[in-house]
Amino acid sequence: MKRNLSFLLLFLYAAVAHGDLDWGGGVTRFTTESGEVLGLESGFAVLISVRSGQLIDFETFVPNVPGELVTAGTILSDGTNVNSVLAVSYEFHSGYLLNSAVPDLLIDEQEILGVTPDEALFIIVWDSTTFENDLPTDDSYFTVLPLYFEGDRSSEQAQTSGGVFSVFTNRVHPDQSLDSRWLQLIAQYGGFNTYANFAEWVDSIHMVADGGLDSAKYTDSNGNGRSNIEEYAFDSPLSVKRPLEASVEESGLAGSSNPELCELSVKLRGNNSQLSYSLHISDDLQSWRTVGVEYMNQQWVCADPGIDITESVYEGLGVWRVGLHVDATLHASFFKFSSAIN
Amino acid sequence: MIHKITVICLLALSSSFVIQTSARVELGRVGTHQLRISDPATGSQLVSLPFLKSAMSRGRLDTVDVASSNLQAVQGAFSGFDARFTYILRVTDGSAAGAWFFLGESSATGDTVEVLNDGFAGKLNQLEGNESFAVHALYTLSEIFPEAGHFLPAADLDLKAMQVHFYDGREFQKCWLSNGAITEHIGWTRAVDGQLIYAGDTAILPGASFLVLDPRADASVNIRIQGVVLKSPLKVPLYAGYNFVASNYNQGLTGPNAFLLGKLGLKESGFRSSVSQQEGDKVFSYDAETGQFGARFYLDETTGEFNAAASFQPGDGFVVYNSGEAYLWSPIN
Repeated sequence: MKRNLSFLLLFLYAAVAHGDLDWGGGVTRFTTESGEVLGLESGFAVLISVRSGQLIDFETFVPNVPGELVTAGTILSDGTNVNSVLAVSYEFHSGYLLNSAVPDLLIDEQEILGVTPDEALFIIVWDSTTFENDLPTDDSYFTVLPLYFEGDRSSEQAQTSGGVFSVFTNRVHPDQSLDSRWLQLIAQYGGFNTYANFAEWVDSIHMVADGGLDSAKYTDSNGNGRSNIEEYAFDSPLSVKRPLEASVEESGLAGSSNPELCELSVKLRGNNSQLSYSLHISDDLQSWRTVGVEYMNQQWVCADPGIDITESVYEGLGVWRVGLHVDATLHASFFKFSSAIN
Repeated sequence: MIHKITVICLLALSSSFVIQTSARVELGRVGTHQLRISDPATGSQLVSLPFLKSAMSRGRLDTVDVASSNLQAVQGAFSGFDARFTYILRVTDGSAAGAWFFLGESSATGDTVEVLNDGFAGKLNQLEGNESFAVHALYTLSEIFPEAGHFLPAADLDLKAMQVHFYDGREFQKCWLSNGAITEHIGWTRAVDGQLIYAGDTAILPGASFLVLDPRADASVNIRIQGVVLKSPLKVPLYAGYNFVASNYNQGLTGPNAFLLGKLGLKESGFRSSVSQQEGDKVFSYDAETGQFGARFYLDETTGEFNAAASFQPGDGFVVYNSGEAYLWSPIN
């Protein structure tokens, strides 16, 4: 694992110094999975650029060898998406990846790495206490954040420069407004591939006899009143709330006496492409309207214009907490989620 | 637009004049300079220290030992060094006037001293051994930029704190003012080998310019620097590549055109002329509003003059790109 060290030399010598990148974590304070602030021994940052296509979905991406994810100079390819690991650093101090401590990525170093102009920049922060043998595993925790010039999210995302002369470096870091409120980001994508199919999940709680997988779906192995397949697809029951009223929680079916806007919350599994989810809405419990809710490109989407996804928070092990806003124009009083597994 | 207010108080010490058979001997000149380090609507300033501190000792060299990088002055001028400071020896007369050397360990009697990094701003083998000299302690970061937190912001982390960036010829070395929340000290801080160490004793080199960054958008801060006006200007090394430099007050800076680029002694010192901006040596000025090095200047091979007018006062900083071999710049004499 490559680790950069900085040192001070107040002497002048030959240099080429335009388009350098002064990168770091800005004002964001990062924590480990357990909530401890990252330090030299527990944090590991990777500066990554998108050379072509999009940012690779690191939740599902499987490198040739784990070291590729944390080694500067590595090119990562996933279909048409090509990303480049530009630099790495462990300069975490009390949770902060200090821009002033991370060595700048100099223009001549970028040239060696084959950097081209306008590559979008991201930072991946790893909880290295979840590494094995100093390398990430499928269960290692990390988070990905886009970088902006001076952390200004209102401007365009930071990109590599075109080699225009600028002795002054370009300072890039995550959104300036990200601070300690966002500590949970570190665990966002942790263990995404865990329980990516029902068999793995049920095997963790239930001894399944040969050929007994189908019957296990409808068994309540832990005796909590919910079937295994329901628990697998819905980590927690559906809940609904309206402003100024106490929320109502029922398993699978939620209702509101006032057919006005409603806020729904449910926990869905995003790491199993064989699962599909539908939201059903009704105002009389007789006729139901069905809309699809899909996991696409690291977020949940609903095609119905009357339903907005208001919250999409990854909670680990493939499960997301999803908030939905149901517009009053739909005149819906009753809701239920269903899931089909192919 | 940056507005630097330069207040030069060249205090001729008339009370110290010594009369010797109608001859007049001037003992020295000192001055002060008001330096703008924070300006509303700008994120950073490129500044320099235009003065050296007053000399702590003076003398005349008796022996120059090039092989062992030692200097000897039997009057004992090399005593009383404080480990917190960096000291230089400045040659004050002769053909090497303006050359200077970093000083290391001195003998117990103060008669001899080790020279460090020979060749940086002067060469021992070019000394004759009878030059007069002055020894100066260099200003430190904490001396120039107070750490008390009264008017310069100290913070938990770098981006919320006052910062000073020194260019080392390859990249910026960044110091920031810590409030002690994540460091074991309060004051200037930089990262070294994974540790956040105290940096208030960082020496600021004469002739070097550096960036000062204030995170506050509306702050106006001036600081006052004082020191000696030199008879012979200090030489400034210009190495191949980019050099963050500045001129320093000296007695040659007189008249209305003293600060013009063409009068700063660059072309007389070795600045290479060219026919366009695309080749040869260049000078870059800093635009505090944009935080970029915008205007560039080259020495026109045809006219022998710079292609456009520019002015750099002491306290300003600018960048010289040296396309060839290193040389020493003597900022006007």
